[in-house]
Amino acid sequence: MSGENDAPGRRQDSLIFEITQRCNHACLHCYNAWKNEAPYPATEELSTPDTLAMLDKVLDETDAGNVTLTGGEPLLRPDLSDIVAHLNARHCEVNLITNGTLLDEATIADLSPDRISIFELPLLSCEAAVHDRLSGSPGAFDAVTLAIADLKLNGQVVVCVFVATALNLHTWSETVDLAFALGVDGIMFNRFNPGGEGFRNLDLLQPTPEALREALDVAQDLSVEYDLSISCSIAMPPCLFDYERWPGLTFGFCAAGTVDAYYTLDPAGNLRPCNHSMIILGNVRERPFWELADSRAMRDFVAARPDLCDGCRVADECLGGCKAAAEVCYGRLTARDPFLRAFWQEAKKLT
Amino acid sequence: MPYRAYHVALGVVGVAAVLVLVILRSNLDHHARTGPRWKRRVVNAGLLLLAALGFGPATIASCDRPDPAKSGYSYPEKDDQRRARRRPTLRADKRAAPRPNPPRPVTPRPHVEKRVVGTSAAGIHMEPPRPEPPKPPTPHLAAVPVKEAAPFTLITKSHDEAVAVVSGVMGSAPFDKACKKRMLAELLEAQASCDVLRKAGQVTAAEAALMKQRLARLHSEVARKRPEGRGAACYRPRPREPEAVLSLSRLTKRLPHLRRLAAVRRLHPDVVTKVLAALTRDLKVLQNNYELSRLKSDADRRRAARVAKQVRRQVDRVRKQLQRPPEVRPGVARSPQWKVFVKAWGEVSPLTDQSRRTTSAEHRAARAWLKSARQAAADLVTARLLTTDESQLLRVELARLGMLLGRNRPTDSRIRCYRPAPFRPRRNSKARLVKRQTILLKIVKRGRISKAVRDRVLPSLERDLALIAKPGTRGSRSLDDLLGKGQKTPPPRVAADPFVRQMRKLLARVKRLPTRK
Repeated sequence: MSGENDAPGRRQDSLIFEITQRCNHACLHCYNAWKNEAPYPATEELSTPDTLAMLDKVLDETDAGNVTLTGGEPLLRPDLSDIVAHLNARHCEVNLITNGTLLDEATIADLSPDRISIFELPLLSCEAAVHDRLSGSPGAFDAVTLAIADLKLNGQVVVCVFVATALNLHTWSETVDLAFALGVDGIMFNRFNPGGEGFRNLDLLQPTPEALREALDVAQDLSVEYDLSISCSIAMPPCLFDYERWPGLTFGFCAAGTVDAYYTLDPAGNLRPCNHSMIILGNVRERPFWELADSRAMRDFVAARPDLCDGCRVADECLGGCKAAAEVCYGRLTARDPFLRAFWQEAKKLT
Repeated sequence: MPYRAYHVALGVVGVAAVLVLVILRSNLDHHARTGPRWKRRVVNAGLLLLAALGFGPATIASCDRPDPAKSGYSYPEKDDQRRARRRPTLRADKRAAPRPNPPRPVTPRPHVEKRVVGTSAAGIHMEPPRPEPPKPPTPHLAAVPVKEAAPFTLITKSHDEAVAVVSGVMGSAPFDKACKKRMLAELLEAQASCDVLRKAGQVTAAEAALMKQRLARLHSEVARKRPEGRGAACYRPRPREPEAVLSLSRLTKRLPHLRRLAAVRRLHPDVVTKVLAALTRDLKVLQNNYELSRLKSDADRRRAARVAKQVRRQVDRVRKQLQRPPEVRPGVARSPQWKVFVKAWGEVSPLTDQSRRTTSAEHRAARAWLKSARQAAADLVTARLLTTDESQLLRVELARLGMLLGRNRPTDSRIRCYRPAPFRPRRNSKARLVKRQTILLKIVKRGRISKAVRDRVLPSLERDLALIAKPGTRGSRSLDDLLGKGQKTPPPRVAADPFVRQMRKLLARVKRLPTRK
């Protein structure tokens, strides 16, 4: 009866690495952990050799085959190319989440060919004014569309992210048209999930379930018409959304506690359960990954459910929405996800 | 003892049941293999007892054959498979495809009764269950070695299974909901079995406590594991697989959108140019004989040629569209950005009046308003409501307001006497006019101006022009005049100033320009 945690073959499929906290945008919906009211420890970026050593240690421990580089704006980090090259040398798939502003032809050429598996860029609206307002950066729309066009010209795989807020939902249908016209490979329809700056703009940005349902109807039709993959990655509570209505879309739940879990490393090597959460499990440079993944804090994170979910038959899959959002907004993992909190009266418990 | 009594009773009831079935001429083998578990148990017990008593060979069916619906190791139901096939093609992505029960590693699954014989995309196919050899009647617990005792078997089975699940080697979601429920129940039962073994004297109290503790921990670990969920992959983008052969239908559908977007100038011309370049490269694929040979039939190849022709025509149209002058959408005056600009203007203008006393707080607020107005002017360009030139004109006006505001110092601050005032009205007006001349020339060349912008900037332009054209100021006299050496009063310099003449002509042309809303 040996310890099962040391069992050979234990692995984590993917990791998120926030390589910098700096950003050239000021998105209204930004959920970065360091944008929360509660203080996040000041984290300085490690030097390139230290960063690579940290990645080596974590990859050796987890055997992860996919690393997503995000930030902040990852392209603000001068050694991004070195980090990507190192991950490529370890045969890791690399996803890059960027706002596209700094993705010029030279950078794209530097990251081509096949060094990045998926480029993930925001396309918040088909209207430049709306996109720029949400991004907090004039000219962001032109920059991101140009970046997408450049990436596709270079044969890269591009996925666009549409963050569904009250400000841009009316443009959703045309935004899919635009994305399709630009030739993107997929679209992520993410409902606005408050946290950080987003929580401060909650009243401005929170969409209603009805508006989201209408947008999903549109997504369903367009995904079929264009043969385009549209996925809803931020958990849409099944008690508010009946997935059977949209068979052509893909819905995701919180992956905490699975090999698909979204463990996130900040620039200093602090490990968090996901990129939305600000719970620091510990530093991977100082302690083994699995020790942190099996820590009490992580167990509590996985086990936490809001009271609303008692007796729900899909509670194990859904995990009660986004508990990280609940925690950063209301201070408790067992609090209701801000979306559920706003619309729980409409929720129908699945028994 | 209770175990023996239970089995004897089961055997007697089973014999009775078998006799009844024989009288009814029912198929004994069928009853021993199908139906509810209790029925299979009773019939098999009866057959076993009869065989032990010498009444014919025992036909032992696998009475403990796991019911796929209950065991938890369930494999795709027919409905699931049908549903999976019904998915639209965009779900062709492997990760996006439904995973009712993804294939799991076989080796680390102890005590799983099913035998895997092969896998397919839809799931795992099972070999039909084979009949097990007859089981001898269970002897008294104390009489058998502990390793062979049923409670200990249960303990080791549930323990090993739980360790395999907890270790993670079976994947992120190692079981479905039914299997999780069964495992948790078995782990509880195993804990109870520790007491049974202790009471039977098979293990010591300390050993039993140790095993119970371990099983309890495994129970909580298994409870933490999540059953297979639907798409439990938050934030994971699910792109399409790169297409080996160009999707013809996608290509034809994309172009009308691109043309529309280019027409309304929603996209920057550079973006459209790049997309067209990418499309042209794709077109070459359609002209490539090797790629064409990979299409299934001649009909597909003919269709590809037809599509390529259509696409080329549409690409040309979009290119022509790009060469036309941009059309700006109407409605500047109603836009929220313009409202911000006008509001800021209204807030700052009164503070530039030198007859009015101002405070530091008002100045701070005015500077914030100016900043938001500058932002609004930039946003109007981004929103395609104004051209860059028009926006620059507005920014010149805002700079003028800022300068006038700086001249009217707040009266609640310390007034610094003797400080030379940097404000030179003529020079400033001239500098502004020079700057605006370049912009206005571009606007005149384009042939249209926003009415809102024109109405906003014209009064200020005329004021500046009037100021520099005003004769008789000291600055306009020559040094000789000032020294009294001049014999005659020279004509006003401005009358001959070519710049003023040019500006007057330019303003007249701007006034005649057709406007848009």
